Amino acid sequence: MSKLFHGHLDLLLAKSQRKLLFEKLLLLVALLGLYLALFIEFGAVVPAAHLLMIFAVFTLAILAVLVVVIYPFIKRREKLNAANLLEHLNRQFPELEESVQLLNQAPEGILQQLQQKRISAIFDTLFHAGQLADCLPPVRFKTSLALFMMALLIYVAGGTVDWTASPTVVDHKVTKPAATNTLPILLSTQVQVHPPAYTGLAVTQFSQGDIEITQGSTVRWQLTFSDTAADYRILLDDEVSIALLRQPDGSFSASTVIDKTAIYRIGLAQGRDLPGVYSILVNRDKPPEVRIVEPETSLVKLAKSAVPRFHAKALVNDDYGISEVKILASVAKGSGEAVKFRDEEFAFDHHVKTGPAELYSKDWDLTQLGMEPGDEVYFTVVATDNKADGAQEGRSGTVIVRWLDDEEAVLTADGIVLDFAIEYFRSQRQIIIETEQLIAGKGNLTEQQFLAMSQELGQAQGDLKQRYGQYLGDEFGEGPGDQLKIDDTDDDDEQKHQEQHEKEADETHDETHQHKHQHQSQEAESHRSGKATAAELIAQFSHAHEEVYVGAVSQNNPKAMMKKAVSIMWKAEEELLTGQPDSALPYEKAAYTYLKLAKQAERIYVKRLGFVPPPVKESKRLTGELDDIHSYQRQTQAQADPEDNNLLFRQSFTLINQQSASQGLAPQQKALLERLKDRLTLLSQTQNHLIRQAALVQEILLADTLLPNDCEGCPSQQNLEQRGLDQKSLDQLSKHLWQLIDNPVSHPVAGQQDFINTNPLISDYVSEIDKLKANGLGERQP
Amino acid sequence: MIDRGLMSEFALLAVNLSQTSTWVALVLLLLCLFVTLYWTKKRLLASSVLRFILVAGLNLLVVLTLAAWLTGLSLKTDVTEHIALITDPDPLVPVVGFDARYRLNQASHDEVDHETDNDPAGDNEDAVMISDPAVIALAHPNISELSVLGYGLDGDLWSSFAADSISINYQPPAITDGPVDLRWNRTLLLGNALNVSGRYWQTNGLNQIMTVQLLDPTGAVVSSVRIRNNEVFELSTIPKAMGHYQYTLLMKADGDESISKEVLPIEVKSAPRIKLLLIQSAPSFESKHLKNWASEQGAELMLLTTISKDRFVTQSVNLSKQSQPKQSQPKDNQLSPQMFNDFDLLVMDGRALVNLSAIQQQWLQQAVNHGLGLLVMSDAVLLKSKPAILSAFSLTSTANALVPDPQVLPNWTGNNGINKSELLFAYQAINIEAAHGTVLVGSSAMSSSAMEAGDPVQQALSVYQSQGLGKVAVSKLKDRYRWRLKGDMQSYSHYWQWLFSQLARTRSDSRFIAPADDFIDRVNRKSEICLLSKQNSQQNSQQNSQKSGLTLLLASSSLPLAVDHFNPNRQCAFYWPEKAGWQQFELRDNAGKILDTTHRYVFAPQQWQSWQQNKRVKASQAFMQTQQSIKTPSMGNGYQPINPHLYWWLLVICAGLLWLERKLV
Repeated sequence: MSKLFHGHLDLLLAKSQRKLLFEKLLLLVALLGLYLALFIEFGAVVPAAHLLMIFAVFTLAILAVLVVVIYPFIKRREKLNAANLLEHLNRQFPELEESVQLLNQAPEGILQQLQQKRISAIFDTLFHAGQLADCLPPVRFKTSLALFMMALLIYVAGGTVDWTASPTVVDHKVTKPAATNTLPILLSTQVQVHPPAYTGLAVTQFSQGDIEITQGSTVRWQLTFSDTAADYRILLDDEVSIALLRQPDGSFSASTVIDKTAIYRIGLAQGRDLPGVYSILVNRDKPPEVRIVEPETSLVKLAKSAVPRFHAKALVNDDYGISEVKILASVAKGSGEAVKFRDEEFAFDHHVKTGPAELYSKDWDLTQLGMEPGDEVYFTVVATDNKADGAQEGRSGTVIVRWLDDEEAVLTADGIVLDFAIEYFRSQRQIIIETEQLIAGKGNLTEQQFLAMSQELGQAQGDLKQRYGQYLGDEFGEGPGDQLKIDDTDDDDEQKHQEQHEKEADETHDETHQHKHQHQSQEAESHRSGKATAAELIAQFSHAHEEVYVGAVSQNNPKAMMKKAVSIMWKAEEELLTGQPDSALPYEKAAYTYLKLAKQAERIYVKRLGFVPPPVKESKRLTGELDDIHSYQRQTQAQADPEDNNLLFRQSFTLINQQSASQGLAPQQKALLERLKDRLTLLSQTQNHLIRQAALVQEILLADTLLPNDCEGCPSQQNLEQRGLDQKSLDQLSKHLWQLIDNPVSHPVAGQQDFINTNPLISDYVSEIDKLKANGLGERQP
Repeated sequence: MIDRGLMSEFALLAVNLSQTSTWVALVLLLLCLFVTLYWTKKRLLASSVLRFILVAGLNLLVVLTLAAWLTGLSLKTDVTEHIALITDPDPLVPVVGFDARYRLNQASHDEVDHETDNDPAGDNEDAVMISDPAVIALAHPNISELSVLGYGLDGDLWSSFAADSISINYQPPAITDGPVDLRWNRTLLLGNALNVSGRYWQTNGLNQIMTVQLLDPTGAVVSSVRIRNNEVFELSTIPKAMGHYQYTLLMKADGDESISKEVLPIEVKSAPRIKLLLIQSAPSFESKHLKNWASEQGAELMLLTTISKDRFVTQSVNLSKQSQPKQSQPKDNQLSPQMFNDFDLLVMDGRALVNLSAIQQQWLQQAVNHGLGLLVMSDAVLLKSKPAILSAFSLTSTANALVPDPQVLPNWTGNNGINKSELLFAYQAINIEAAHGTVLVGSSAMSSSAMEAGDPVQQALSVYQSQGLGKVAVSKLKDRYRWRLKGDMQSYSHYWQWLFSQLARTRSDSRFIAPADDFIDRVNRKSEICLLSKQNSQQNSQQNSQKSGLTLLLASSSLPLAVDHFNPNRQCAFYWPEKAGWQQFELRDNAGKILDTTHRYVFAPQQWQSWQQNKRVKASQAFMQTQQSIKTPSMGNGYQPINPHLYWWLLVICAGLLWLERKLV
């Protein structure tokens, strides 16, 4: 019996232990589910750098929970023994009369034997009826179920709830892999550029999206994507969409003719764009450049007795070839009202290639043109390039060939030919600079060196003085006294020219044309021979960076000013020659000032820009009829010019350089960059290198962030790097913007003192002044 | 990495408990002694008197030891201490023969480690690292001689060093070749020129010629000059955009070899726009162009023009509704005390000023006393009747029949590199003088009229005189709008900005004060940043800036502000930058609103080395001159602190004996 009882008891014990084990397994599975659910959800929104940490924390947490679970399990397992089971059966079955333990021990005394026997029968009955097995402790699964439900809830909620909406993780939304992984990847890019046939250029290949082409080239893209099932397109300048056609080999291709600089993006046909903005830099076909190299001047004069022939050469250059070069000539024959013009077209005799250009030449024989002494021919060289769609034309300047009727004297009275070719002269400004340098470097020079350099400067000053004096009627070697006389009626060239002009105006009208050419001839002659106006003279011997002058002009005669300058140069020269540059410097500067004044006075024709009312006597002022005059008010608000490039470039430069946070771009920043992109695109039509910068700005807009200066490995940087942007690209953009910005205009600002008037000391001081004034004690100065 | 310097300083000062704490500790010790003696007596007196005496004695000794340690007991000695202060470690020269060695932490931690590793002798390694030499005097009250090894200390560190009775040995090493004595304006307004000056220091004067170039943020050369060594150079350019960025100073030897390259960080800012009142007795091109420029640039302005007798045109641009005149057909010029107080600067011609009524002149005088700026465009009327507000000025006619239309080239501070057009201007034939006046605009030496009339080469074209809080200026230059007509907006706008910034009422907006032109922030060095704000003064000069509601933030951490005793509007904070580069400071009010922002650049120790060495040598030599009176080291007869090891061993021995006594029972 005892053996049978122990067999039953062992069965019950084993069953209880199985139940306990099952209960704990359920709990373990539920915990693992919860762990996985949490890990999946948080792992998706936590940056990769923190993923390991999150994993470690969760693992530690789950281990801790396991320890907490296993320990009671072991404890409960220890408690699950025969004595406790029998005690449990006593509780469950009253018919066992709290005596079931007797079955597990040897009976002591008759009473126990009787009870053992009785209880054994009941035990067997209950066991076989299965009641004992049924009343064993049940499996507790509520905790496991609750944990499992929680895991399920987290997993399901994770799919519907946007965890990134939490303000703490909002920055990282852009890097959520799910957002970009759905886009196909551009695996390879091949761009084939077929330049227009007339250029003669070879087909070029690019293995990247940014290309540089000739205007009118046919561009053919061949692209491969990770997803070959989708449809793709190229979006040109955000306007023109070009469908990419699927090829048998799985690649996609498209081609189009490009005429202007543009940016483009590649994307799905449905509208989503792939990362990357590319630029097409178009080099325009320039019109031909034509330059007449012979004759060297625009006016050729042939003496009456000279051989009426001359040689003409023109250098013609074009980037892709010339189709035609011709000479357009007009022959003027006769004089006065009898003058007749005849237009003719000539071809060059022959041409040779000289480097990149071609040299065209022609021998002219004036007699073959039917010309006689007194006639003129004007000709221009016109070159046409070989551009297929609309050939471009380039023209040279016009050359006038005049077959003189009379011999012209080119000798002076002394029989010496005056060569008016520009010689080397130091300008007055240069003399001042060198004098200052000489004075500054006096300590480093010996006395002889110093004197020699001073004398050299004196000589230069003398040369310049002579040069000016020569045109002012000065005699060589003349002293300063005569130049001080301001005489406007002397026989200067300008006066003579004016008189001659007036005389000619009285002559018959049929000579008008001839006169015109004579006049032109004289002007051209005067240019070559140096007999120019005062300003032109000064321009020859001075730097030209201060000459623009607009506004009120003094009443001083420019000639007088120049004479004064020359007279002061005498003194400067004298001081320099005697080795006293310190004393010469004020004279040099004074001469320079008068030269400048003369230059400004010369521009008399631009002076009346502002109305300067004549002085009015106060007694007369404001005494007129006032009935129709009313006071009024006007209120306006100044508006910033939206087309102000400077402001746009300046603001953009500041934005790109000062962006320090890693957040996305603010709406106004996006608007600014949009405007910048549009402006750069517009400018790229003339400065084609700017298209790369426009593409870069577009990239920034798509990335929705700027690379922070102090951010390494932050999400925004990763996002930019995915798009192929880096600090170097942004530096390039900054550099271009900086170069585009003009010099700034200062702002009208308030006072800039380093104190505030609310300082009690200052307030007290002012109160004291007010009191003193109120008491009539006069004014105190601070 | 732990800052060894700071730890050392802490260790030096740790024993210095406060007076109260010391007394409390002593009383507790005494109580402990009494209790111990009582129990010892109870335990031992009956059995063994000798043992009682021994135990009581040991307890007494322990208490005395502790008391001596707590009170910092010192022994009177006759000693001299020779201390070495290493400001620039030389790895090749071991520092030996000193009673103590201190090393000034002037570099970043990384650099300190690097140098220590390279120390071949290894003798300098155990020098105590300090960041303020003032602690030497605290740690060594008997110091008699201090040897400064290296280039020395900066002026502020010397000033904190109490060295009345110390003899200082100082032999600086040769300064590294490079640019020194640099000055440049760190903070400037848009449109102002960046002026850089300095000189190139070369110890071996080889009379070398070099090129100094100023490079803009994109690396393009914007200004260049050729100098000899130790010669002063000046470079100038106009930054194009607002923000903070770096220019570069590049020095090249002959042959284009770069010998020095340093950064020049600057911050280009904008400032509050002016509120401008223009009053003219008749329409003029000058005021028209001035109005156009100022309003285009965002200034608020009102232009009152007399168009006929008692007829006025009032034009207001960018003015808020409160400031705009109420009448649609003004019967008079509408001037009022409130109007004068509403604007920062009043610009008017002489005749308009003379035509003001007596009461209006009085209002104007009061407004000027309270800060309004007044700029009077002089005319012939002023010579006939000078109003009271110009009483400080002496105006005399300089009309010269020989030169009916004299012209000058105006010149003003800060126009370096701006007035390149060298446009000549006519001026009113008036000589302007003021007893305490300041010349705002003068004529340059190229003045033709000066030469013509035999006048001094330079003459004052605009002069101002302070009156109360305001300034009154008289200008005789004419037709300044010609710059604008010529397209030279840079000169035009800069000229007026210069006048406005000098004359107009100062706004009471809270703002940062720009650092001095020759000061730079350095890593691990104390730096000061100051600001102006009326908020503090309104709160009755509270010492604690928290009550003023201002918060100064550096990288989102708050810096404590201290109020200047002499100028309650001025508040300063100290900071110790830990890394090189830009630092952004924000000034916020108690509502969190940003009042002003500024950027300061912190230089790494290896930047501007020769300049900093030169500065320290100069400061140290200047300090040495104040120490000339002490020729020989004085013998110290102070107190020598007892070695703390002695206390320790005494405690251990006593405690050991007492333990033995208990165990032997």
